[in-house]
Amino acid sequence: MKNVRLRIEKSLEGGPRVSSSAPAVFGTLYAIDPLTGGRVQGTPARRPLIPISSDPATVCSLEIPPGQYVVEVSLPSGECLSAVIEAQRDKACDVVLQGEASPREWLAWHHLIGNVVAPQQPSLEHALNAPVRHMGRPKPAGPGRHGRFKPRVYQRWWAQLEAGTAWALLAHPKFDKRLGIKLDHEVPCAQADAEHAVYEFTGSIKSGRHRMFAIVELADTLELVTLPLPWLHHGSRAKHVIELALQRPSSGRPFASAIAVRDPNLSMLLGFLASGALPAARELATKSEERLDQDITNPLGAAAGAYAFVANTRGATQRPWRRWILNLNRQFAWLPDAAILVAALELRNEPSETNLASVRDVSLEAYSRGLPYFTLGLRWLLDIFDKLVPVFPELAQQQQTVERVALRCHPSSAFTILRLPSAGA
Amino acid sequence: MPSAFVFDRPLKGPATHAVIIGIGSYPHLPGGSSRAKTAHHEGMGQLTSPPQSARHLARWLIDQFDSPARPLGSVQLLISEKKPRPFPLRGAVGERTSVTVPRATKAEIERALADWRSKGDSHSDNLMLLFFCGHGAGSGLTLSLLLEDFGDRPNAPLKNCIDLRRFHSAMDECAARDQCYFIDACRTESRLLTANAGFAGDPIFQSTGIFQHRDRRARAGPMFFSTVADAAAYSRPGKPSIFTDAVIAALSGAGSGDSNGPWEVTATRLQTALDAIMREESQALGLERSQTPSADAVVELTLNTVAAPQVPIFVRVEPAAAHAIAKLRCEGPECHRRLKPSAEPWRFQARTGVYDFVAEFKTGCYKHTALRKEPVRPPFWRKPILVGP
Repeated sequence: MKNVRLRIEKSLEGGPRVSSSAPAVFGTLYAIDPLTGGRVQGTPARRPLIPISSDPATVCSLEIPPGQYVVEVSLPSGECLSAVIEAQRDKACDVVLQGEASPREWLAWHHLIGNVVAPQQPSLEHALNAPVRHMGRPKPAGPGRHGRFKPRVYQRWWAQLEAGTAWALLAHPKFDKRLGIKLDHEVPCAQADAEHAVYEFTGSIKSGRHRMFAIVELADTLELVTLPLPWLHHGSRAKHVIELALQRPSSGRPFASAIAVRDPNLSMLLGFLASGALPAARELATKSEERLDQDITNPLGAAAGAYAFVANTRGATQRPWRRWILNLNRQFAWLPDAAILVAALELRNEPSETNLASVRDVSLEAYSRGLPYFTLGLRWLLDIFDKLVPVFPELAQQQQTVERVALRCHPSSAFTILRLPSAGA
Repeated sequence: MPSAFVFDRPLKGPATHAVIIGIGSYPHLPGGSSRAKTAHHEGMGQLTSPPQSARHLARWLIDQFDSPARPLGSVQLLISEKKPRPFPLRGAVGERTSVTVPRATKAEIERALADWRSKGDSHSDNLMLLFFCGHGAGSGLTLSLLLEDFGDRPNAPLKNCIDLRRFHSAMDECAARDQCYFIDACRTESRLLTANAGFAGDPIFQSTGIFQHRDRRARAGPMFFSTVADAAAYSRPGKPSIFTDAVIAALSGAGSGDSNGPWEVTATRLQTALDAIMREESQALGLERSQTPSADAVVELTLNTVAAPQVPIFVRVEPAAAHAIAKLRCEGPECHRRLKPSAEPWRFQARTGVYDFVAEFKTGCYKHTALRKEPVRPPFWRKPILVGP
């Protein structure tokens, strides 16, 4: 009899979705000695995949021997949940891990993956008399708490630009003037309060020929937000909803934008990629490995999984996912991240003189495909050029251009978001 | 010139080598000792916490770091403070002594990092630790670490800074395959970096194009930041920063797990512990927004082994009115604590074990209530004690 039922309580049911399945993360379950609290040695820890849902019927069911156990889960937001379980032989036990409440129900996906933080719980009283100081600059004067936060969001797509033009324009100080951005095609807001706003995109765009971006107009900046469209559901090929969440910029947080994909299979993986928790991302990618090997329905999702695999590779590898990364690059010749992944993989496999030249070639191919969809791609492209330029000095110009663009990049976002001077700046 | 080594022990096998930099005194920033102040201060001034943070961490490493797989091999310490103080040491026969540590100028840091790199090149299984506490200037994926003599050249203000991204990238050519970086600095947006379009200082080391890893392993080089990009870091003036305290708590046990047998602090568990501890500390300090640590390139990497992990404990009584008048009694392995009523949740550390937590009341308004036989394990123990009338 399965005597333990695990679930993480969080309501994610609001808003349009193409899949009714719940997102999930791996937890750690292990037996402990009730007298010492230490792990019972010799009993392996289990890694259950625990669903995140407010539905009591959506659980991970396990059969475990009677005893005391601890279950721990880390969410992409950084929140750590745990519970002690008293498992009995013939009696089922429901274990519900309660996470932090999100500021609004319609921000739940963003809160879950760390895009949005709940307001600080009011402190009972400050016990410390000593003042708290910034280690550095004084708080910059920003919009007051009660000032107007009325962003405007536009969608824009461009045909794939010739590489040099695209990068040069992105790196140019007066980006929007050069490219002639017209702020038309305004996107209606789906939900908003005084501090947040959410916009939804599904996008009927033929990937490969066009890239779609959201342009967020704030007080004195623009944010160019990569929209990973279309994000297709494996099998049905239905389009998942992409959500853009905006938060009021505050002191120390000039970036307003964040992206969440309402894909229960990959949203958590994307959150872990953004937070830098790469082993957790890889573990989730492993769940999708076989499927990705068979049919790459969603090349962007496949690229996300590939980042997780490659980032955790520490030596030469002949794992199956290596093959489908090469396939990804061949089949989707418009995807910059696919070429970046191939280059990064080759560098980790101890490159020789022979394949350094091919790493150079595939890096240039990546550059020619334009701005990476993923921030990790931009970061890795920089690292790859750092390593190649001493051997191939002719790559210095590309390196410098990518560097300029990287200065504008949101470093904690899964998808590439650039902050640009506005037309009036 | 004083040596930066405050600990140096030749070891045959793999070892842990650390460089710790704490910069509070910036002569060319407002409030500094030099008459020549830089025009590019961007609101930065003098700091009191970084020297304390650096000392605190060096002390902990020397006294308490205990990794049988990679014992502590060396610690280099560089501190810039207004009134330099010697760093206390124990001599070969246990006598108390002290050393003067070098200031964290560009020249001294270059020397120390070269020595550190050389230690790393001696064995591919060495663990390299870098800890920096001071001013930082960020833009996008770029972060510049400001050294003591930042701003000494009016027309080249970034000359005495470290380009962290390039430094980290070049360290991929160090033979030591396991490296960990802790950066405790504000990462607020810098116009100087944007204006210089990619130049963020000196990478200290340069990539040479040598990729041949002697033992065919890719480098693990996670970086932990005290805050997210474009955000500020906090401290109590004159005391170690909350990030430093969190790092030490994590290395002491909060970041450990025993899934492989002994308690090991790993990069992934350390990341979880840092986040949890700093959320609690931010709330204790009443910060408007939680100071959220961030990380980059976290892969599985063992940092330390602890025999008896110390676990941060956060206890509060609910409802809040009850907490204000409750006393806490905590009973467990070698732990008998009596804590007075507090406006804040009680915060302390205890060894891994099983504990009783009892909320007691002098008046009869609430019943004494206990949570008994609670397993206390990393990364932390945090529960409310629900009391009734």
